[in-house]
Amino acid sequence: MQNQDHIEIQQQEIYSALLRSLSGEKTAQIRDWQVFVNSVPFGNLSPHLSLKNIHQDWSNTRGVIDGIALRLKHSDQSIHLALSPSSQVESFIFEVLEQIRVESLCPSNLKGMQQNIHSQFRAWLDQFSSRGGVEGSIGLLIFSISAIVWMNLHSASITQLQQDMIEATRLGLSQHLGPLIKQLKLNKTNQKEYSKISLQIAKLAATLIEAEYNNFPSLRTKRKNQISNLLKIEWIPPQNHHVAENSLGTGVSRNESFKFYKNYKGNYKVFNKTYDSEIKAQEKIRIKQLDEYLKILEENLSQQIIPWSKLSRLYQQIFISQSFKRWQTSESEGLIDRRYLIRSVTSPLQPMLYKTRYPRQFMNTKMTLLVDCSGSMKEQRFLTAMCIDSLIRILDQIGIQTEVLGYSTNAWHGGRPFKEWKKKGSPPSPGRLNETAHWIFKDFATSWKKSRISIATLLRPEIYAESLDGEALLWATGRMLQQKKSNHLNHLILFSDGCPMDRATIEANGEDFLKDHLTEVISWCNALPQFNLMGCGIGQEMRTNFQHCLSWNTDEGSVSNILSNWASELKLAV
Amino acid sequence: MQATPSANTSPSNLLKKVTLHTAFPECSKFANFELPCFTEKSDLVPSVDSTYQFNPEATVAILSGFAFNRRVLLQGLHGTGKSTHIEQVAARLNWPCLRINLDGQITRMDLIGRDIIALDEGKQITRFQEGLIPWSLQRPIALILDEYDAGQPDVMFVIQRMLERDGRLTLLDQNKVISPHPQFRIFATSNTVGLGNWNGLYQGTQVLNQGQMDRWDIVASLNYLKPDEEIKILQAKTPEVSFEQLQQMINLANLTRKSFEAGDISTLMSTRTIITWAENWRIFKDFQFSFALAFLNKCESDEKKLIAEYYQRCFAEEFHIPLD
Repeated sequence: MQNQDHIEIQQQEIYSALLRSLSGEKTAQIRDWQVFVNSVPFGNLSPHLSLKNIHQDWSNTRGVIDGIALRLKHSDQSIHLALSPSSQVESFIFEVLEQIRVESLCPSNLKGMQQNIHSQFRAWLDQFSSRGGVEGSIGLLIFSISAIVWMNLHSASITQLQQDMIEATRLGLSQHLGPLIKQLKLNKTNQKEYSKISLQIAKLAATLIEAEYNNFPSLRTKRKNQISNLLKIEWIPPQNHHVAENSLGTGVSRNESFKFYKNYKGNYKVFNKTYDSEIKAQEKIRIKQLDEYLKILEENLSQQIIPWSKLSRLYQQIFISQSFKRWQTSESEGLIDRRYLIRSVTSPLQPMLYKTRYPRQFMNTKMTLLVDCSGSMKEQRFLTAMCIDSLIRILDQIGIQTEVLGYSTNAWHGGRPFKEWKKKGSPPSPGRLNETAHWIFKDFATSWKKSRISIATLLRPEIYAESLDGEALLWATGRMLQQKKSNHLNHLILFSDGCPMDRATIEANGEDFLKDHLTEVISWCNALPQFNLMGCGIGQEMRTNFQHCLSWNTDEGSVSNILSNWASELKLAV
Repeated sequence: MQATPSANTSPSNLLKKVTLHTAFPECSKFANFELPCFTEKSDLVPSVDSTYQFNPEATVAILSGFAFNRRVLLQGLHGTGKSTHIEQVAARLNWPCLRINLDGQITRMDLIGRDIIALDEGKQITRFQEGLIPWSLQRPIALILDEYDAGQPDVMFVIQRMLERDGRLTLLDQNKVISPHPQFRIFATSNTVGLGNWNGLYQGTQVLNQGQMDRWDIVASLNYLKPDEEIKILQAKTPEVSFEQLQQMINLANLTRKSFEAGDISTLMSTRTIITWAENWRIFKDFQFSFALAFLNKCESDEKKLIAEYYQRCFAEEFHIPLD
């Protein structure tokens, strides 16, 4: 699994909450330092708001968050994207000018917010110039335009040194830029009109650059590099993001989701299902061998200091629910319980014949832990097994039903379906080729004590092969939805290090075949009612698909720390 | 001397007519209609709060309840002043009010009445004592059922019959049918719209029977006041705090409200909390300390960090009080 720091997850949660309240956009979220709205990546942001810079010394985190919040609040993204030019320089200027507009709309009575955004913009200008961004003519032009517009719209100033830097460009531009800036100021509350003028400014800049390029043909080859090297800004013009569509809207009933699950097909297909298997660990592996694995697991755990009762309390607080549906009988006051009326005769001095409602605390939760048993997970199997065993022990103790499942393949390089496909002359797009191996280490009905020996199977190196994550996630979700009690809140934690990997399937169907399916299934799971999908140790490529992540830090190595970090993360996610 | 309204109060002698636009100028954007108004105050008429800011939409909904005998349910988050709103409208009409809190403990017997043991000419007798509902039903009273969604189902069915206009109440124990007084009015306030505790905030609320909900003629919602209306109240209550500071306080309250809506914090600042904050400031002369006492200490430790950030946005200064 890949490391993801607990502090980082907590920071992202706080920044997300700030974004939501400052912008009023309830679905705004920061996932893996990217802004998401309605579970869709927000797209490009002005370079001074790059969340990648948030931990840099020069950056003012508050300014970045406030700037993004203002953008979400005051800018209509559909208008912005519709008008956004496609060329690199033009789209860059267009983006910066839009951000300057929304920041200028910051309410004057939010003094702190105003300070934050000003200090961040100035810090970015400093950083930009000190890193040599203004050494090239294009860089200087963009820098000057941004600074001039910002000063005018915000009625604020930049440092003397920066003013000196832009002085010459400013003079050169004043004739063309002056009237346009006046127009910008007049229309700063009207996004459409403002965008039209900022497009003119972007075009003006592009024309100037073009003119320079024409005058010096030798610059032709350098031109592309100038944007990325001299500007030192990563900038990709906006494009339409591919979003996996949910075939299932939010707010559907549990039965409907289950029906949907049954009929789930999508574009994914399987070449041959005959060799797929669902394996119960205890049935497949000799009990003596399992005993040995259990001993190793216990030995490893004995070296850890785990405060069980403290952790149990922590987890109990997260998942406990209350209901007032039960009656306490034989009370001395309350409503008369007619079943005990006789007591008024038999013991008239102490007629305990009343009933009152009393709160009943119960666990309204089920949890599945789904472990990726791909080759790359083998290395961390000891820590994974310890954490999973300990988590199950705690959840079992507090009365939460749990299931531990795993997935890998029965063979490497496609197995028997691959051979059959070859025999048939390798027809194109055959679908998934390998044989899935779905492991059941613990089911809902079995207690932690009885299933420990199966959980210890996670230590067996031979079970680790290739991984078909999308199918496994569907399988685990299906098992959960089939449970009889329908009012439970279901949590599924996927322990995985990254993308699905089956070499044979990928070679026959294309690089993204398995990945796309996993993305589709995750987005389907995210839309399920009463269902919370979380990822743990997920690699960067897939991380942003998860609404909530749990941290995984092997450097800490302590199971106790990992479990208490998970508790605080679950508290935010539940 | 003021007296409690009796069952025999003759309505025609004590009532006068006023118009909506003259009595409630804040509702002048709505169509004008005549309102009945009592000429005399009784014990049960709430006292007028001259600083109270009426929400025009909610006011006109409540007034239609008074004028046309409509059943009005006022829904909104806690601290938005739902019950006070009805009381202040009633106060200006000199209409007697009775508030019943339908918490989980109130029983059917409390509402309808029960047999009690009493002494009559030295002899012990059992006598039926009317509950609050038959009592108020026979009087010119505006009955306000607070926390309507927290009532137990058996209690709710007692109320259901009354919700129909001219709905008579049958006292089974007494073999008696009570017809409502012509000036009897019924209002209710609730935190949810009968859908129960969906956000985990209102423990003890019930999912209301749709037959019940259907009987309310008017369901008005009362949200937090707009900043300019809220500031007027605060100025009236705590004139010593400067206008700018009041604005910052309201901004902070609004940020916590948005955060609450998004589910990021579990406590929110009502107008009442802001007033307490300003009143605390009057004592301690320290904004941060007064804020911590009025609101921050009610929050969970995880939420405090977030609220300290909101404080920085509004006041442009770091929150120096330790958060743990």
